[in-house]
Amino acid sequence: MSNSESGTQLSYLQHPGKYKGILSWLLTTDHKRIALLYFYCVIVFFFIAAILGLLMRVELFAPGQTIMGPQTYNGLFTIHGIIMIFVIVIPALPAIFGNFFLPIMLGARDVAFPRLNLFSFYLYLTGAILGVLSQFAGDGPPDTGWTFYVPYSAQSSTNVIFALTAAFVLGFSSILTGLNFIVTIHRLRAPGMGWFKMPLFPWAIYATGWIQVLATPIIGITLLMVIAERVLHIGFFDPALGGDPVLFQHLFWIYSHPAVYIMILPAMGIVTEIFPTFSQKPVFGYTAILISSLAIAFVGYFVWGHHMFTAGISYGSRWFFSFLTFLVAVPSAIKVFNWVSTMYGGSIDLKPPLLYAISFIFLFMIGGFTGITLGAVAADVHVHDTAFVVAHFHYIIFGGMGFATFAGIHYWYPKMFGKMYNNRIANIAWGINFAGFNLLYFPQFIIGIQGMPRRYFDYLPQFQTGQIISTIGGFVLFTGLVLMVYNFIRSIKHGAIAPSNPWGGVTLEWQIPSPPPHENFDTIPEIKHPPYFFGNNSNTKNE
Amino acid sequence: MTHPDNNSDHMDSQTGKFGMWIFLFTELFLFGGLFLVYAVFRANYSEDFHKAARELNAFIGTLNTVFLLVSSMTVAMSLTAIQKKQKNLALFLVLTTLFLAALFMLNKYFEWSHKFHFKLYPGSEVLKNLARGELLFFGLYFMMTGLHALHVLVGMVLLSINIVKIQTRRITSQNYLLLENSALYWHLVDLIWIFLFPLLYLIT
Amino acid sequence: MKKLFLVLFLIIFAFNLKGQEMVRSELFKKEVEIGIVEKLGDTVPMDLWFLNENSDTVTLRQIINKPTILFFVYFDCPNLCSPLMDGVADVESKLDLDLGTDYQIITISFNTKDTPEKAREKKINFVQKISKENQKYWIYLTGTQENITAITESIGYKYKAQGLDFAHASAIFILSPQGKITRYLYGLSFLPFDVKMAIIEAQKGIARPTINRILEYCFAYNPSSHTYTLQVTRIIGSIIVFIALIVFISLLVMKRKK
Repeated sequence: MSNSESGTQLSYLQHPGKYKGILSWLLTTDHKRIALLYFYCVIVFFFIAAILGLLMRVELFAPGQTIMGPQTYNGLFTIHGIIMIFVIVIPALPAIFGNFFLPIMLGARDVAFPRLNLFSFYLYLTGAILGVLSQFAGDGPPDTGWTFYVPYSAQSSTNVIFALTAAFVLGFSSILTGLNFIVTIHRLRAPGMGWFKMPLFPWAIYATGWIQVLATPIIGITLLMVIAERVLHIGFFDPALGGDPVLFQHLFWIYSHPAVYIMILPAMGIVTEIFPTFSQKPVFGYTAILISSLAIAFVGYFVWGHHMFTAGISYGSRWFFSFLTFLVAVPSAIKVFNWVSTMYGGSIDLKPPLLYAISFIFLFMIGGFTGITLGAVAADVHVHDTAFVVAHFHYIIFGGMGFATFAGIHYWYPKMFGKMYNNRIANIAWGINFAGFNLLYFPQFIIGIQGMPRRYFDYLPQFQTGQIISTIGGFVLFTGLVLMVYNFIRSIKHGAIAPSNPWGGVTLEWQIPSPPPHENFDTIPEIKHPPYFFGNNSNTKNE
Repeated sequence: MTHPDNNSDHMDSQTGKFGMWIFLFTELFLFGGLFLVYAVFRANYSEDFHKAARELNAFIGTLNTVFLLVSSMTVAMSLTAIQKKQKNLALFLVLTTLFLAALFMLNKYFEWSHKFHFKLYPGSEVLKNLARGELLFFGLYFMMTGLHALHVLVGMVLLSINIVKIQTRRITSQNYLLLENSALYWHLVDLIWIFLFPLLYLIT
Repeated sequence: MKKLFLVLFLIIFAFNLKGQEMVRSELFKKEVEIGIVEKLGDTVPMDLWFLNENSDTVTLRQIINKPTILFFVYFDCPNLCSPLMDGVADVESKLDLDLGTDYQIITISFNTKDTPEKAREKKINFVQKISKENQKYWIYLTGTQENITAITESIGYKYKAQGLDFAHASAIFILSPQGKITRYLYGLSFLPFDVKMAIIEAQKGIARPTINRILEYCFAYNPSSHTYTLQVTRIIGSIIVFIALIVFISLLVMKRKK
């Protein structure tokens, strides 16, 4: 079934296909290569957006104009948000790890629609490039914020249509990826792998896929409506023509709230894989985690109004959305209990993946608890549109999904590239990242409560101490990120050769060579055991 | 569950159809956003909507509905034909479907030209002088029928590809997934129109 | 049984609604004739001058250089003022902070007819239990109508003349060494703990022992109950973060078990 000798077969990196050279990558339909294409693009765009963020932090170092005026600042936070949300955080985990590992973990040779997969990638690249182009073409970078609120997005004289189109194209890519994965999970599981024998990362991808498929079209049509507003003055959102700007907010958040579950569910799926492996025992509460994932996906459709507590919606609406927001936190909490319980009594090995997974729990919980604060209407009225919100979502998205992504890279790097990275550098980078992250975002909770607004390039002097600490944290974090990526790049050439199962994992990807061969499996495996079976010795660690 | 070898040249038809169904759901949600906006504004401006709908020609609308319904039937029949190895019949039926689609688009062209002639288009002075609900009705009319027409065009392209592939025997009684999926797509286009028609033409 | 619960529920619900209405009307009361309108965070005008019990002219700036308990009386007061001064004297004796080093007391008469001589007489009654060196840290002030009005307004202290007497509230006010109003404590008698916490809060910004910082972290003033309450959330939160840190460090240090 599996061969742990990594020398006999050609890996997917070397496999000679229909095309030669660069074309063998650009025209590939191998899910593993497509995953790497996404991976490299995500890293590049992430650093672009991170540097944009860093520039904002430099501006906020002192009150008044520091290095840029307000128009530039507005353009910066807009493009930072667009790239981070639509180009990085929403696509990355399904496109990179979903693509690479979903088929393998299911015992399949590829996804259901490999050519569609490649098409998704090119849609993604097109959307990302359009987004970047919006900075340079004609009328100047968009300054509406990534949320494109009307009436300003209908009136702003900047390149809003570029950005709207970019988001539309990226959304289409997301839909097709989700569709591909749903069908893959339904149709391509190996013999013997019933639904409840599937590991939890595929389950997470499954829940995510449904959100991608059902929620994204709404933002698609909404973006088209804003374009129609700008170009045709269609009037849906223009009060002078009988329309309603708050209607835009409803439509926008009906997608954008479920979108955050697209961001976090795969991240949770990754750490759910890491904890059993590094505790050498089955995940605690497989069914509970499974149902929680589905519950989060489902309930997440009904909480969008919590972004609109101050928009003038009715008392009843505010009550309803607040209640459901509190409710949707419960499955996440259940997962945290399960992760910690998985570790309890286990044989813990604090390698970099586990280090990142544990800090994921810590940071995600801070983000989550402050989300509850925001979900309470009375408290939200005080902190809406302040730095408190900025700190909250960065803890959840960056501290949560971001750190889980780092965990995933450190976990699956040996499998993807066939090399081991340097543990010491990885650990040091972790420490710098963790410290920098908290320095960067924690003060923003405090100045937010004290009244520091968000999306402002200037502020009252009493907030400066917090802003200075935050800016320093930003630079510390950036250093850690660079060090972490340096480790990855360097280890491609200089890392030790990775065995097929360096961590002692028991899911299918660890039963094939590192890196995997082109078709993943010699013969499609037949599944006999439950998903996290640490019983026999067919999956022992080999170092 | 069958577990086909993942050979992308010869995809298992169940898988292919499932994918298409999911895609159709996304299209439903895409139009769903517009239906939602329609519902909101109709609730706010019901009188104006009634008044504005009288500008639309219910006869042409009905004609278009008939065209699409019949075309759905012909494309479904073409599927049966190809399964029964009746290549020429299948070809004829797909061509008929395409022809009916073209008639639909022709009607649409006349309808829209008529409106443009009276300066009833988004952003015009005439529209600005109307009641707000009427203005919004026309905005919705153009956006919904416009987006739908776009999908009809895409469908026509798909049907054309099918015609070529049937002719060159790349669609056969053993391998007709493309035709089947195109037929499904066409049914969706028809279904959306069946919702659009009463909401826009029949609410006077 | 179910019917009983339903009836009880409805009765309680009705009372709750009434209570809400009452609370809401309290919150929106603006015009106060006699009483106190809190001005937390404001600084009293430090250049106001008064006569102390030795007939020296002093400005607030000269005498306020440490946390200060300030309160208003008039010396012919038949009702509240003596019990109030008693209450302050009582709490002074029970406080484990030192009068003179950690804080001082200022009593101001808002009656323009009161004089330094009267002040001296009054003071003798209440400083019995205080040592001779520290008695000078309980200062009695009298002054002009203009300056009395200025200081009472800045604190939000509203009183009204009624014949020969005055109708007024009973409370003490804690000021920081910079003259900022940091706390209002109401009543005739005061818990030593509440006063101590208030003085500690007023110490913010100047050197103070660490135990005071810890106490300030663990207790906070609750405006509705007018007392200092234990901040259970803060304490448990700190403990949890601490435990998380210990867990993390042990994970780092422990060897993998087989």
